[in-house]
Amino acid sequence: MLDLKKDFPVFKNNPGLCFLDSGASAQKPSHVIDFVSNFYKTTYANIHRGIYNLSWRTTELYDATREKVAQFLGVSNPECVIFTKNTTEAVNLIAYTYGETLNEGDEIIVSIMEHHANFVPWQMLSKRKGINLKIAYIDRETLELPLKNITSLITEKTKLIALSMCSNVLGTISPFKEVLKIARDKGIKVLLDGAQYMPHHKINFGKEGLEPDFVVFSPHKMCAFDGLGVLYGQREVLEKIPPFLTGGDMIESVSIENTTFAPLPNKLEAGTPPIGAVISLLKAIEYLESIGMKNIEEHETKLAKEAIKRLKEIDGVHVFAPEKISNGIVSFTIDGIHPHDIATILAEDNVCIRAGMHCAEPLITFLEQDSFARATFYLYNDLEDVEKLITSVKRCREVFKL
Amino acid sequence: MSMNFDPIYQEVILDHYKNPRNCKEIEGLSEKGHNASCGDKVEVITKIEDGKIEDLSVCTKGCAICTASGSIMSEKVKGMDIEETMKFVEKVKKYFKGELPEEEFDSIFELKALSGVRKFPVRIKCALLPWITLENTLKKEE
Repeated sequence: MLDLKKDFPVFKNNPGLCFLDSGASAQKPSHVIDFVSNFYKTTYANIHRGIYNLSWRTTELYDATREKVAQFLGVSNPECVIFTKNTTEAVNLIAYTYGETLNEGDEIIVSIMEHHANFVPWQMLSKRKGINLKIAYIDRETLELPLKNITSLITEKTKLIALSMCSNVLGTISPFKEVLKIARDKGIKVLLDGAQYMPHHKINFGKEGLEPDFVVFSPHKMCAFDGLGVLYGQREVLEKIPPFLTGGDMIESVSIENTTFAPLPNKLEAGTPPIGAVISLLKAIEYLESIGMKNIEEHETKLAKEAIKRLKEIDGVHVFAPEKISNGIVSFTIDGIHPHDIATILAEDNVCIRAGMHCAEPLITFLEQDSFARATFYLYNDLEDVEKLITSVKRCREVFKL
Repeated sequence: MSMNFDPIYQEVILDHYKNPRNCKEIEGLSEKGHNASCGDKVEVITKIEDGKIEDLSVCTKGCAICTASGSIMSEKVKGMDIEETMKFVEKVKKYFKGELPEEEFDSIFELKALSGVRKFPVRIKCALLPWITLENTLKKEE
Protein backbone atom coordinates (compact mmCIF):
# COMPACT_ATOMS: atom_id res chain seq x y z
CA MET A 1 0.00 0.00 0.00
CA LEU A 2 1.14 3.54 -0.70
CA ASP A 3 1.81 5.78 2.27
CA LEU A 4 1.90 9.31 0.87
CA LYS A 5 0.06 11.63 3.26
CA LYS A 6 3.47 12.95 4.31
CA ASP A 7 3.97 14.34 0.80
CA PHE A 8 0.83 16.50 1.07
CA PRO A 9 1.04 19.42 3.55
CA VAL A 10 -2.75 19.74 3.80
CA PHE A 11 -2.82 16.62 5.98
CA LYS A 12 -0.19 17.99 8.36
CA ASN A 13 -2.14 21.25 8.62
CA ASN A 14 -5.49 19.49 9.19
CA PRO A 15 -4.88 16.65 11.63
CA GLY A 16 -7.47 13.89 11.29
CA LEU A 17 -8.59 15.09 7.87
CA CYS A 18 -10.24 12.30 5.91
CA PHE A 19 -10.30 13.74 2.39
CA LEU A 20 -12.47 11.68 0.05
CA ASP A 21 -13.29 14.31 -2.55
CA SER A 22 -10.35 14.04 -4.94
CA GLY A 23 -12.78 13.35 -7.76
CA ALA A 24 -13.75 17.01 -7.50
CA SER A 25 -10.17 18.22 -7.08
CA ALA A 26 -7.02 16.60 -5.72
CA GLN A 27 -4.74 17.88 -2.98
CA LYS A 28 -1.29 19.17 -3.94
CA PRO A 29 2.05 17.63 -2.91
CA SER A 30 5.02 19.68 -1.64
CA HIS A 31 6.87 18.63 -4.79
CA VAL A 32 4.42 20.78 -6.76
CA ILE A 33 3.69 23.57 -4.26
CA ASP A 34 7.34 24.22 -3.38
CA PHE A 35 8.51 24.26 -6.97
CA VAL A 36 5.87 26.75 -8.08
CA SER A 37 6.36 28.85 -4.95
CA ASN A 38 10.08 28.98 -5.67
CA PHE A 39 9.40 29.71 -9.33
CA TYR A 40 7.40 32.80 -8.38
CA LYS A 41 10.16 33.86 -5.98
CA THR A 42 13.01 33.45 -8.44
CA THR A 43 11.95 33.19 -12.06
CA TYR A 44 8.49 34.51 -12.88
CA ALA A 45 7.81 36.72 -15.89
CA ASN A 46 5.31 36.57 -18.69
CA ILE A 47 6.08 33.99 -21.37
CA HIS A 48 7.08 34.54 -25.00
CA ARG A 49 7.88 38.09 -26.08
CA GLY A 50 10.25 38.94 -23.22
CA ILE A 51 13.84 39.22 -24.46
CA TYR A 52 15.25 39.04 -20.96
CA ASN A 53 16.41 36.04 -19.00
CA LEU A 54 13.41 35.63 -16.63
CA SER A 55 10.96 35.56 -19.51
CA TRP A 56 13.02 33.02 -21.37
CA ARG A 57 13.35 30.76 -18.37
CA THR A 58 9.59 30.98 -17.72
CA THR A 59 8.88 30.21 -21.37
CA GLU A 60 11.21 27.22 -21.19
CA LEU A 61 9.33 25.80 -18.20
CA TYR A 62 6.00 26.51 -19.89
CA ASP A 63 7.10 24.69 -23.05
CA ALA A 64 8.67 21.87 -21.04
CA THR A 65 5.21 21.24 -19.54
CA ARG A 66 3.72 20.95 -23.00
CA GLU A 67 6.35 18.37 -23.90
CA LYS A 68 5.79 16.54 -20.63
CA VAL A 69 2.04 16.34 -21.32
CA ALA A 70 2.69 14.99 -24.82
CA GLN A 71 5.00 12.35 -23.37
CA PHE A 72 2.43 11.52 -20.64
CA LEU A 73 -0.24 10.97 -23.30
CA GLY A 74 2.14 9.12 -25.59
CA VAL A 75 1.72 11.53 -28.50
CA SER A 76 4.53 12.88 -30.63
CA ASN A 77 3.40 16.44 -31.30
CA PRO A 78 3.59 18.75 -28.27
CA GLU A 79 2.33 21.71 -30.33
CA CYS A 80 -1.04 19.93 -30.42
CA VAL A 81 -1.29 20.15 -26.62
CA ILE A 82 -3.35 23.26 -25.86
CA PHE A 83 -3.70 24.83 -22.44
CA THR A 84 -7.20 26.06 -21.61
CA LYS A 85 -8.90 27.37 -18.49
CA ASN A 86 -10.40 23.98 -17.59
CA THR A 87 -11.85 20.83 -19.15
CA THR A 88 -15.18 22.58 -19.70
CA GLU A 89 -13.47 25.29 -21.76
CA ALA A 90 -11.53 22.66 -23.70
CA VAL A 91 -14.78 20.97 -24.75
CA ASN A 92 -16.35 24.32 -25.58
CA LEU A 93 -13.32 25.23 -27.67
CA ILE A 94 -14.00 22.23 -29.90
CA ALA A 95 -17.79 22.70 -29.87
CA TYR A 96 -17.49 26.34 -30.95
CA THR A 97 -14.86 25.75 -33.64
CA TYR A 98 -14.92 22.24 -35.09
CA GLY A 99 -18.57 21.93 -34.00
CA GLU A 100 -19.57 24.91 -36.10
CA THR A 101 -18.37 23.10 -39.24
CA LEU A 102 -21.08 20.45 -38.77
CA ASN A 103 -24.35 20.71 -40.66
CA GLU A 104 -28.03 20.33 -40.01
CA GLY A 105 -28.94 16.66 -39.88
CA ASP A 106 -25.48 15.54 -38.78
CA GLU A 107 -25.32 13.36 -35.68
CA ILE A 108 -23.30 13.49 -32.48
CA ILE A 109 -23.22 10.59 -30.02
CA VAL A 110 -22.63 11.11 -26.30
CA SER A 111 -23.21 8.70 -23.43
CA ILE A 112 -25.71 9.09 -20.62
CA MET A 113 -22.84 9.07 -18.13
CA GLU A 114 -21.26 12.29 -19.38
CA HIS A 115 -20.36 15.07 -16.97
CA HIS A 116 -22.29 18.21 -17.92
CA ALA A 117 -18.99 19.55 -19.32
CA ASN A 118 -19.15 16.98 -22.11
CA PHE A 119 -22.91 17.11 -22.49
CA VAL A 120 -24.23 20.67 -22.39
CA PRO A 121 -21.83 22.07 -25.08
CA TRP A 122 -23.03 19.36 -27.50
CA GLN A 123 -26.68 19.86 -26.57
CA MET A 124 -26.27 23.61 -27.21
CA LEU A 125 -24.47 22.97 -30.50
CA SER A 126 -27.24 20.58 -31.55
CA LYS A 127 -29.84 23.27 -30.93
CA ARG A 128 -27.80 25.91 -32.77
CA LYS A 129 -27.13 23.79 -35.83
CA GLY A 130 -30.05 21.36 -36.01
CA ILE A 131 -27.76 18.45 -35.19
CA ASN A 132 -29.21 15.22 -33.84
CA LEU A 133 -27.77 14.41 -30.40
CA LYS A 134 -27.95 10.69 -29.71
CA ILE A 135 -27.51 9.14 -26.28
CA ALA A 136 -25.73 5.85 -25.60
CA TYR A 137 -27.21 4.37 -22.44
CA ILE A 138 -25.45 2.34 -19.80
CA ASP A 139 -26.89 -0.95 -18.59
CA ARG A 140 -29.02 -0.11 -15.53
CA GLU A 141 -28.16 -3.43 -13.87
CA THR A 142 -24.42 -3.75 -14.50
CA LEU A 143 -23.75 0.03 -14.69
CA GLU A 144 -21.43 -0.76 -17.61
CA LEU A 145 -21.51 0.96 -20.99
CA PRO A 146 -21.65 -1.86 -23.56
CA LEU A 147 -19.85 -1.08 -26.82
CA LYS A 148 -22.94 -2.03 -28.85
CA ASN A 149 -24.97 0.68 -27.11
CA ILE A 150 -22.65 3.16 -28.82
CA THR A 151 -22.03 1.41 -32.13
CA SER A 152 -25.73 0.72 -32.71
CA LEU A 153 -26.27 4.50 -32.86
CA ILE A 154 -23.70 5.04 -35.60
CA THR A 155 -25.09 5.98 -39.00
CA GLU A 156 -23.62 7.60 -42.10
CA LYS A 157 -24.52 10.95 -40.57
CA THR A 158 -22.50 10.41 -37.39
CA LYS A 159 -19.75 13.02 -37.28
CA LEU A 160 -18.58 12.96 -33.68
CA ILE A 161 -18.59 10.70 -30.64
CA ALA A 162 -17.96 12.68 -27.43
CA LEU A 163 -17.27 10.12 -24.74
CA SER A 164 -16.19 10.11 -21.14
CA MET A 165 -13.33 7.68 -20.55
CA CYS A 166 -14.53 7.19 -16.99
CA SER A 167 -17.79 8.20 -15.30
CA ASN A 168 -17.28 10.69 -12.48
CA VAL A 169 -20.25 9.17 -10.63
CA LEU A 170 -19.98 5.42 -11.17
CA GLY A 171 -16.31 4.91 -12.00
CA THR A 172 -17.48 3.01 -15.09
CA ILE A 173 -14.77 2.89 -17.75
CA SER A 174 -16.21 3.33 -21.22
CA PRO A 175 -15.07 1.12 -24.12
CA PHE A 176 -13.23 4.12 -25.54
CA LYS A 177 -10.39 2.11 -27.06
CA GLU A 178 -12.79 0.04 -29.17
CA VAL A 179 -14.78 3.17 -30.03
CA LEU A 180 -11.61 4.87 -31.27
CA LYS A 181 -10.80 1.99 -33.61
CA ILE A 182 -14.34 1.69 -34.98
CA ALA A 183 -14.73 5.46 -35.40
CA ARG A 184 -11.38 5.74 -37.20
CA ASP A 185 -12.47 3.17 -39.78
CA LYS A 186 -15.67 5.08 -40.40
CA GLY A 187 -14.10 8.55 -40.44
CA ILE A 188 -15.98 9.64 -37.31
CA LYS A 189 -14.20 12.02 -34.96
CA VAL A 190 -13.89 11.11 -31.28
CA LEU A 191 -13.50 13.45 -28.32
CA LEU A 192 -12.45 11.73 -25.11
CA ASP A 193 -13.20 13.36 -21.76
CA GLY A 194 -10.36 12.13 -19.59
CA ALA A 195 -11.07 14.27 -16.52
CA GLN A 196 -11.66 11.20 -14.33
CA TYR A 197 -9.35 8.86 -16.22
CA MET A 198 -6.02 10.65 -16.62
CA PRO A 199 -5.34 11.15 -12.88
CA HIS A 200 -5.71 7.44 -12.18
CA HIS A 201 -4.57 5.36 -15.13
CA LYS A 202 -1.63 4.97 -17.45
CA ILE A 203 -2.58 5.44 -21.06
CA ASN A 204 -0.07 5.74 -23.88
CA PHE A 205 -2.14 6.47 -26.97
CA GLY A 206 0.81 6.15 -29.32
CA LYS A 207 2.00 2.78 -28.02
CA GLU A 208 -1.53 1.38 -28.11
CA GLY A 209 -1.98 2.54 -31.70
CA LEU A 210 -4.87 4.81 -30.72
CA GLU A 211 -5.43 8.17 -32.38
CA PRO A 212 -8.12 10.13 -30.57
CA ASP A 213 -9.09 13.30 -32.42
CA PHE A 214 -9.45 15.22 -29.17
CA VAL A 215 -8.60 14.46 -25.55
CA VAL A 216 -9.47 16.81 -22.70
CA PHE A 217 -8.59 16.56 -19.02
CA SER A 218 -8.21 18.44 -15.74
CA PRO A 219 -4.74 18.89 -14.24
CA HIS A 220 -6.19 20.01 -10.89
CA LYS A 221 -7.61 16.50 -10.42
CA MET A 222 -4.08 15.11 -10.73
CA CYS A 223 -2.26 17.20 -8.14
CA ALA A 224 -1.52 20.25 -10.32
CA PHE A 225 -2.97 23.67 -9.60
CA ASP A 226 -6.47 24.75 -10.55
CA GLY A 227 -7.26 27.19 -13.35
CA LEU A 228 -5.92 24.94 -16.10
CA GLY A 229 -7.40 22.45 -18.54
CA VAL A 230 -5.71 20.49 -21.31
CA LEU A 231 -6.88 19.87 -24.84
CA TYR A 232 -4.95 17.56 -27.12
CA GLY A 233 -6.04 17.36 -30.73
CA GLN A 234 -4.95 15.92 -34.05
CA ARG A 235 -2.84 18.46 -35.89
CA GLU A 236 -4.87 18.51 -39.12
CA VAL A 237 -8.06 19.42 -37.25
CA LEU A 238 -6.45 21.95 -34.93
CA GLU A 239 -4.77 23.60 -37.91
CA LYS A 240 -8.03 23.76 -39.81
CA ILE A 241 -10.31 25.15 -37.10
CA PRO A 242 -10.55 28.90 -36.56
CA PRO A 243 -9.33 30.34 -33.25
CA PHE A 244 -11.81 30.05 -30.35
CA LEU A 245 -10.72 33.24 -28.60
CA THR A 246 -8.79 36.00 -30.32
CA GLY A 247 -6.48 38.76 -29.14
CA GLY A 248 -3.10 38.68 -27.47
CA ASP A 249 -0.40 36.09 -28.09
CA MET A 250 -2.34 34.18 -30.77
CA ILE A 251 -1.58 36.36 -33.78
CA GLU A 252 1.00 36.33 -36.52
CA SER A 253 0.31 39.82 -37.80
CA VAL A 254 -2.35 42.46 -37.22
CA SER A 255 -3.27 45.37 -39.48
CA ILE A 256 -6.20 47.74 -39.20
CA GLU A 257 -8.11 45.62 -41.70
CA ASN A 258 -6.97 42.08 -40.95
CA THR A 259 -5.31 39.58 -38.66
CA THR A 260 -3.39 36.44 -39.45
CA PHE A 261 -2.99 33.84 -36.75
CA ALA A 262 0.04 32.26 -35.15
CA PRO A 263 0.74 28.57 -35.78
CA LEU A 264 -0.15 25.92 -33.19
CA PRO A 265 -0.26 25.95 -30.25
CA ASN A 266 -0.40 29.75 -29.91
CA LYS A 267 -3.36 30.11 -32.26
CA LEU A 268 -5.53 28.42 -29.64
CA GLU A 269 -4.02 30.03 -26.53
CA ALA A 270 -5.16 33.64 -26.57
CA GLY A 271 -3.99 35.93 -23.81
CA THR A 272 -1.68 35.35 -20.86
CA PRO A 273 -2.21 31.77 -19.69
CA PRO A 274 -2.21 30.57 -16.05
CA ILE A 275 1.59 30.22 -16.09
CA GLY A 276 2.00 28.96 -12.53
CA ALA A 277 -0.72 26.35 -13.01
CA VAL A 278 0.89 25.14 -16.24
CA ILE A 279 4.26 24.77 -14.57
CA SER A 280 2.62 22.99 -11.64
CA LEU A 281 1.45 20.36 -14.12
CA LEU A 282 5.04 19.61 -15.10
CA LYS A 283 5.86 18.84 -11.48
CA ALA A 284 2.56 17.02 -10.85
CA ILE A 285 3.15 14.60 -13.72
CA GLU A 286 6.72 14.11 -12.50
CA TYR A 287 5.38 13.33 -9.04
CA LEU A 288 2.66 10.91 -10.24
CA GLU A 289 5.18 9.15 -12.50
CA SER A 290 7.62 8.83 -9.61
CA ILE A 291 4.91 6.94 -7.70
CA GLY A 292 3.85 5.08 -10.85
CA MET A 293 0.41 5.35 -12.45
CA LYS A 294 -0.07 1.59 -12.20
CA ASN A 295 0.64 1.71 -8.45
CA ILE A 296 -1.79 4.59 -8.02
CA GLU A 297 -4.52 2.72 -9.88
CA GLU A 298 -3.98 -0.42 -7.83
CA HIS A 299 -3.85 1.47 -4.55
CA GLU A 300 -7.05 3.44 -4.97
CA THR A 301 -8.88 0.43 -6.43
CA LYS A 302 -7.96 -1.61 -3.33
CA LEU A 303 -9.33 1.12 -1.07
CA ALA A 304 -12.51 1.50 -3.10
CA LYS A 305 -13.11 -2.27 -3.12
CA GLU A 306 -12.70 -2.41 0.64
CA ALA A 307 -15.05 0.58 1.08
CA ILE A 308 -17.65 -0.99 -1.22
CA LYS A 309 -17.48 -4.32 0.62
CA ARG A 310 -17.87 -2.63 4.01
CA LEU A 311 -20.60 -0.22 2.88
CA LYS A 312 -22.66 -3.10 1.47
CA GLU A 313 -22.57 -4.75 4.91
CA ILE A 314 -24.47 -1.80 6.41
CA ASP A 315 -28.28 -2.03 6.41
CA GLY A 316 -29.97 0.36 4.00
CA VAL A 317 -26.78 1.31 2.16
CA HIS A 318 -26.73 0.95 -1.62
CA VAL A 319 -23.52 1.22 -3.64
CA PHE A 320 -23.66 2.26 -7.29
CA ALA A 321 -20.54 0.82 -8.90
CA PRO A 322 -19.92 -1.73 -11.63
CA GLU A 323 -18.70 -5.17 -10.55
CA LYS A 324 -15.27 -4.60 -12.08
CA ILE A 325 -13.90 -1.32 -10.78
CA SER A 326 -10.41 0.05 -11.39
CA ASN A 327 -10.41 3.37 -9.60
CA GLY A 328 -11.37 5.07 -6.36
CA ILE A 329 -14.91 6.27 -7.11
CA VAL A 330 -17.61 5.03 -4.71
CA SER A 331 -21.13 6.45 -5.00
CA PHE A 332 -23.75 5.36 -2.50
CA THR A 333 -27.09 6.14 -0.92
CA ILE A 334 -28.59 5.34 2.48
CA ASP A 335 -32.32 4.58 2.69
CA GLY A 336 -34.11 7.35 4.58
CA ILE A 337 -31.23 9.84 4.54
CA HIS A 338 -30.71 12.41 1.81
CA PRO A 339 -27.11 12.49 0.48
CA HIS A 340 -26.75 16.11 1.60
CA ASP A 341 -27.56 15.07 5.13
CA ILE A 342 -25.06 12.21 4.82
CA ALA A 343 -22.36 14.64 3.69
CA THR A 344 -23.22 17.01 6.55
CA ILE A 345 -22.93 14.32 9.22
CA LEU A 346 -19.68 13.08 7.65
CA ALA A 347 -18.39 16.66 7.65
CA GLU A 348 -18.97 16.79 11.41
CA ASP A 349 -16.55 13.83 11.59
CA ASN A 350 -14.02 15.54 9.31
CA VAL A 351 -14.83 13.11 6.49
CA CYS A 352 -15.05 15.09 3.24
CA ILE A 353 -17.26 13.64 0.53
CA ARG A 354 -19.45 15.15 -2.15
CA ALA A 355 -23.23 14.88 -2.40
CA GLY A 356 -25.67 15.82 -5.12
CA MET A 357 -25.96 15.32 -8.84
CA HIS A 358 -22.20 15.55 -9.46
CA CYS A 359 -22.79 17.58 -12.64
CA ALA A 360 -24.30 14.49 -14.21
CA GLU A 361 -28.03 15.09 -13.91
CA PRO A 362 -29.02 13.03 -16.98
CA LEU A 363 -27.27 9.99 -15.46
CA ILE A 364 -28.80 10.48 -11.99
CA THR A 365 -32.24 10.84 -13.57
CA PHE A 366 -31.68 7.74 -15.74
CA LEU A 367 -30.81 5.76 -12.60
CA GLU A 368 -34.06 7.05 -11.04
CA GLN A 369 -32.22 8.70 -8.16
CA ASP A 370 -32.33 12.26 -6.84
CA SER A 371 -28.79 12.47 -5.67
CA PHE A 372 -25.74 10.41 -4.62
CA ALA A 373 -23.17 10.58 -1.87
CA ARG A 374 -19.74 10.07 -3.46
CA ALA A 375 -16.45 9.19 -1.83
CA THR A 376 -13.38 9.21 -4.06
CA PHE A 377 -10.07 7.65 -3.05
CA TYR A 378 -6.74 8.80 -4.43
CA LEU A 379 -3.07 8.02 -3.95
CA TYR A 380 -2.81 9.68 -0.51
CA ASN A 381 -5.77 7.88 1.04
CA ASP A 382 -5.30 4.80 3.17
CA LEU A 383 -7.23 2.05 4.94
CA GLU A 384 -7.72 4.32 7.94
CA ASP A 385 -9.72 6.64 5.66
CA VAL A 386 -11.94 3.68 4.71
CA GLU A 387 -12.41 2.97 8.40
CA LYS A 388 -13.38 6.59 9.10
CA LEU A 389 -15.85 6.57 6.22
CA ILE A 390 -17.53 3.40 7.45
CA THR A 391 -17.72 4.59 11.07
CA SER A 392 -19.22 7.87 9.97
CA VAL A 393 -21.75 6.25 7.61
CA LYS A 394 -22.88 4.04 10.50
CA ARG A 395 -23.24 7.14 12.63
CA CYS A 396 -25.56 8.65 9.97
CA ARG A 397 -28.00 5.86 10.66
CA GLU A 398 -27.69 6.41 14.41
CA VAL A 399 -28.29 10.16 14.10
CA PHE A 400 -31.36 9.50 11.97
CA LYS A 401 -32.46 6.76 14.37
CA LEU A 402 -32.70 4.14 11.64
CA MET B 1 -33.50 13.59 27.37
CA SER B 2 -32.53 12.44 23.92
CA MET B 3 -29.26 10.60 23.42
CA ASN B 4 -28.96 12.43 20.14
CA PHE B 5 -26.54 15.33 20.53
CA ASP B 6 -26.03 16.06 16.88
CA PRO B 7 -26.00 19.85 16.53
CA ILE B 8 -28.12 19.80 13.38
CA TYR B 9 -30.23 16.68 13.35
CA GLN B 10 -32.08 17.18 16.62
CA GLU B 11 -35.17 15.21 17.57
CA VAL B 12 -37.60 17.89 16.40
CA ILE B 13 -35.89 18.20 13.01
CA LEU B 14 -35.97 14.45 12.45
CA ASP B 15 -39.62 14.38 13.49
CA HIS B 16 -40.56 17.03 10.93
CA TYR B 17 -38.40 15.29 8.30
CA LYS B 18 -39.93 11.88 8.83
CA ASN B 19 -43.48 13.22 9.25
CA PRO B 20 -43.69 16.48 7.33
CA ARG B 21 -46.82 18.49 8.23
CA ASN B 22 -49.25 20.08 5.84
CA CYS B 23 -48.28 18.51 2.54
CA LYS B 24 -51.79 18.31 1.17
CA GLU B 25 -54.01 19.17 -1.75
CA ILE B 26 -55.48 22.64 -1.41
CA GLU B 27 -56.67 25.37 -3.76
CA GLY B 28 -54.45 28.42 -3.82
CA LEU B 29 -51.42 30.15 -5.27
CA SER B 30 -48.76 27.63 -6.17
CA GLU B 31 -45.08 28.50 -6.18
CA LYS B 32 -42.19 26.12 -6.79
CA GLY B 33 -38.66 26.43 -5.49
CA HIS B 34 -35.53 24.53 -6.52
CA ASN B 35 -31.94 24.39 -5.34
CA ALA B 36 -30.01 23.62 -8.50
CA SER B 37 -26.85 22.50 -6.73
CA CYS B 38 -28.43 19.86 -4.48
CA GLY B 39 -31.74 19.10 -6.15
CA ASP B 40 -33.99 20.11 -3.26
CA LYS B 41 -37.49 20.89 -4.52
CA VAL B 42 -40.42 22.47 -2.75
CA GLU B 43 -43.96 23.44 -3.70
CA VAL B 44 -45.79 25.93 -1.52
CA ILE B 45 -49.52 26.45 -2.10
CA THR B 46 -50.97 29.42 -0.27
CA LYS B 47 -54.67 30.06 0.24
CA ILE B 48 -55.15 33.73 1.04
CA GLU B 49 -58.46 35.14 2.27
CA ASP B 50 -59.03 38.67 3.55
CA GLY B 51 -55.29 39.34 3.50
CA LYS B 52 -54.58 36.35 5.71
CA ILE B 53 -52.93 33.00 5.09
CA GLU B 54 -56.06 30.92 5.55
CA ASP B 55 -54.26 27.67 4.74
CA LEU B 56 -51.07 26.49 3.13
CA SER B 57 -49.55 23.31 1.81
CA VAL B 58 -45.80 22.70 1.76
CA CYS B 59 -44.51 19.65 -0.10
CA THR B 60 -40.77 19.06 -0.15
CA LYS B 61 -38.54 16.59 -1.93
CA GLY B 62 -35.10 16.92 -0.52
CA CYS B 63 -32.87 16.77 2.51
CA ALA B 64 -33.91 16.69 6.16
CA ILE B 65 -33.10 20.35 6.69
CA CYS B 66 -35.16 21.59 3.77
CA THR B 67 -38.05 19.26 4.53
CA ALA B 68 -38.12 20.07 8.26
CA SER B 69 -37.77 23.79 7.57
CA GLY B 70 -40.75 23.68 5.19
CA SER B 71 -42.83 21.63 7.59
CA ILE B 72 -42.09 23.98 10.49
CA MET B 73 -42.88 26.99 8.31
CA SER B 74 -46.27 25.52 7.41
CA GLU B 75 -47.21 25.37 11.08
CA LYS B 76 -45.91 28.81 11.99
CA VAL B 77 -47.30 31.10 9.32
CA LYS B 78 -50.82 29.70 9.05
CA GLY B 79 -53.25 32.38 10.18
CA MET B 80 -50.78 35.26 9.86
CA ASP B 81 -51.68 38.23 7.69
CA ILE B 82 -49.50 38.97 4.68
CA GLU B 83 -47.54 41.85 6.18
CA GLU B 84 -46.88 39.91 9.36
CA THR B 85 -45.75 36.91 7.33
CA MET B 86 -43.37 39.01 5.22
CA LYS B 87 -41.76 40.40 8.37
CA PHE B 88 -41.54 36.96 9.93
CA VAL B 89 -39.98 35.44 6.79
CA GLU B 90 -37.45 38.28 6.72
CA LYS B 91 -36.52 37.62 10.33
CA VAL B 92 -36.18 33.86 9.78
CA LYS B 93 -33.95 34.45 6.75
CA LYS B 94 -31.70 36.73 8.80
CA TYR B 95 -31.65 34.18 11.60
CA PHE B 96 -30.54 31.31 9.35
CA LYS B 97 -27.88 33.54 7.83
CA GLY B 98 -26.52 34.27 11.31
CA GLU B 99 -27.43 37.94 11.21
CA LEU B 100 -29.50 37.68 14.40
CA PRO B 101 -28.39 36.27 17.76
CA GLU B 102 -29.02 32.59 18.41
CA GLU B 103 -31.40 33.48 21.28
CA GLU B 104 -33.69 35.33 18.89
CA PHE B 105 -35.95 32.29 18.56
CA ASP B 106 -35.72 31.00 22.12
CA SER B 107 -39.51 31.18 22.13
CA ILE B 108 -39.91 29.09 18.96
CA PHE B 109 -37.97 25.94 19.72
CA GLU B 110 -38.45 24.39 16.26
CA LEU B 111 -36.70 27.31 14.61
CA LYS B 112 -34.04 27.34 17.28
CA ALA B 113 -33.45 23.66 16.47
CA LEU B 114 -32.68 24.69 12.88
CA SER B 115 -30.01 27.13 14.05
CA GLY B 116 -27.38 24.40 13.54
CA VAL B 117 -27.31 25.29 9.84
CA ARG B 118 -25.72 28.62 10.74
CA LYS B 119 -22.41 26.77 11.07
CA PHE B 120 -22.75 25.07 7.69
CA PRO B 121 -22.92 27.86 5.10
CA VAL B 122 -23.73 25.45 2.27
CA ARG B 123 -26.73 24.12 4.16
CA ILE B 124 -28.30 27.52 4.89
CA LYS B 125 -29.87 27.55 1.45
CA CYS B 126 -31.60 24.24 2.21
CA ALA B 127 -33.27 25.78 5.26
CA LEU B 128 -34.08 28.96 3.34
CA LEU B 129 -35.70 27.38 0.28
CA PRO B 130 -39.30 26.98 1.59
CA TRP B 131 -39.25 30.45 3.14
CA ILE B 132 -37.99 32.11 -0.04
CA THR B 133 -40.60 30.21 -2.04
CA LEU B 134 -43.37 31.46 0.27
CA GLU B 135 -41.96 34.98 0.04
CA ASN B 136 -42.09 34.80 -3.76
CA THR B 137 -45.77 33.86 -3.57
CA LEU B 138 -46.57 36.75 -1.30
CA LYS B 139 -44.63 39.23 -3.42
CA LYS B 140 -46.77 38.20 -6.38
CA GLU B 141 -49.93 38.55 -4.30
CA GLU B 142 -48.91 42.07 -3.28
